[in-house]
Parts: sequence; C-alpha cells; structure tokens
Amino acid sequence: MQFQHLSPCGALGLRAWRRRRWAALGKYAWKGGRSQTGVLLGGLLWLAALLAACGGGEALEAVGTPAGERAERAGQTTTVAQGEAQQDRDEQGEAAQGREVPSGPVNVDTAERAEAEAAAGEGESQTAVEAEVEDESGETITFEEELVERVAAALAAHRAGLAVERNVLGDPNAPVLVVEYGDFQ
Amino acid sequence: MVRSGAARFEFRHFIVFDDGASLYAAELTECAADQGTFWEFHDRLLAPDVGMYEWEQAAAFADSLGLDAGRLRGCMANHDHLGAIQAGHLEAWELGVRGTPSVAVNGVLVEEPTAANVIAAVEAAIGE
Repeated sequence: MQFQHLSPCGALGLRAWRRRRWAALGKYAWKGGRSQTGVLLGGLLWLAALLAACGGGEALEAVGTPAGERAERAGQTTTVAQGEAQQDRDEQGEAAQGREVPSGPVNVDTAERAEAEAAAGEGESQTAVEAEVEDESGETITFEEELVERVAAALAAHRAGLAVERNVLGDPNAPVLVVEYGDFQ
Repeated sequence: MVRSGAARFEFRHFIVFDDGASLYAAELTECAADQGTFWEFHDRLLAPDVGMYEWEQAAAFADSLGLDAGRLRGCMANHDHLGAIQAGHLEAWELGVRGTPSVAVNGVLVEEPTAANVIAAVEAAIGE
C-alpha cells in the first residue's frame, strides 16, 4: 500500500505503527473487549483511540457510553502448558510483539518522510515516554500512556457501583455465574 | 445482567504461555486482590507496554493506589497464590478450557464465546 500524502495524523499513525505500538494497543483493546468488565469497549476503544488521535480526542469521550454491538473476537489463544497447538499463540504473540509490521513502500511528503524514517530508525529503543507527539493543535501528548490511563478509567467507570470481591464482580448470590478464563499475555 | 443482580462475573486465570510472565501476572493480580485492587491490576496488565512485568513498575503502580508494596512483594516472593492458580488451571482444563479467552456460564463452556453467544448463554441460564 502506498500513501501519497501523509497528514500529521498519518505521521502519528506511521510512527506508532513502526514503533510497534499499534499491535500492543490492539491487544490491549482486544483484551478489554473480551473482558466482561469491558463490555463493548474493546473494539470501540480501538476505533476511538484512532479517531482521537486523528480527530482531536472527542471520539474517546463517547466510549463511556456503551452502545451497539460488542466487537467479536477473532479467535482464542490456546494453551502451551499442555502441549496444545500453538497456531493461535503464534498469531497473537506475533501481533502483540509487533512482528507484523508492513514492509511495503511508503511514499510521503519530504518532511513527513524524513520524520517517518527517523521514527523508523529509532526502532525498539523507543520508550512509551518517548512516544510523545504533537497533535494537530500543537499540544504535546504522551500517546500510549494517556491512552492506557483513559482506557483504565473507562473500565473502572464500567465497574462503578458493582460489588467487588477479589476477582468477582456483582452480587455474590446471583444465580448465574459467568467465568472468564484469561491470561495477561 | 451483572448490574441487575441476575449474574455475577468472575475472572479466573488460565495460564497459556509457559514463559513465566503469565504466571507472574496472575500472581500479581491475586496478591493485589489481597489488598482489594485485583481489577486495577487486571486493567493495567492488559496493556503489555506499560512495564508492569517489571517489579519497579508494579511497585510504583501499587504505590499510586496506596497499597503496601512491601506486603505485595512478600506475597509475590512467597508465591502465596501459586497453588490456587495452578489448581484453578487444572480445574479449567478438566472443564474443557484449552485457550483464552474462554467463558463458562454456570459451569458450561460457551462454544465460540463471542459477545452474542455469551449473552445468549447467560440469558438462557437466567431463564432456567
């Protein structure tokens, strides 16, 4: 895929992409989506984060009001401990580690290309703090850290008012028990 | 449905990756649960790049929540919850869990646990 013009938003996306951030954020949004406490939020957060980066952040405000359908999951990660097939692990693991970075040609305006190349050249030594960018209004943001904070706040808001006992949400005497089996990798 | 009181939701650990990090994260959340912050750590650990797999970052986050980081460290060092996590894993395995995420409603695994399928299963369980 070629990009004949890359806006500041696009430059942000490219930089983040090359820093292997999107994959991480994708996994974050994904896992939020499959958590019962993050009902609706996974796919919406992913989209909202992208829109926020591109549109000034208003989109993320809407995340707090769940609506529509939840993003459906693309698959499961199968266990390794018992020697099960690892194809899902490979798929998700690689995505999480950003190995699926597109290698195709990217054409951008000169200045933007220089920035993108510089960002690409910085490689894995980048830290989350170094992922600071200027949005279209010129305001400096720490993209990933801020996103993490917002998502965590959204998830917390979604749990607000629910009884919490360790890893259980809701009335402990409720007749129906929904269990999510998950891991954090 | 959880909010209405018809259902309760529980997160259980199922260790997929045999590289130590999954188990570390599971223990960390359980140790955090000892101080009432399971879900705060749960949310953080879903973001792999925030450094929660380094103790310093986890301790800093614990500090930010007002937790006793020393108690947290002791819990981790002593592997206070390791046995329960491993037992839970085996229990899940016997139930038929083979990967994550998996969802069970009243002890019955939901096949292809999409949101729609889970909701349907919960509604069916409520109707029983």
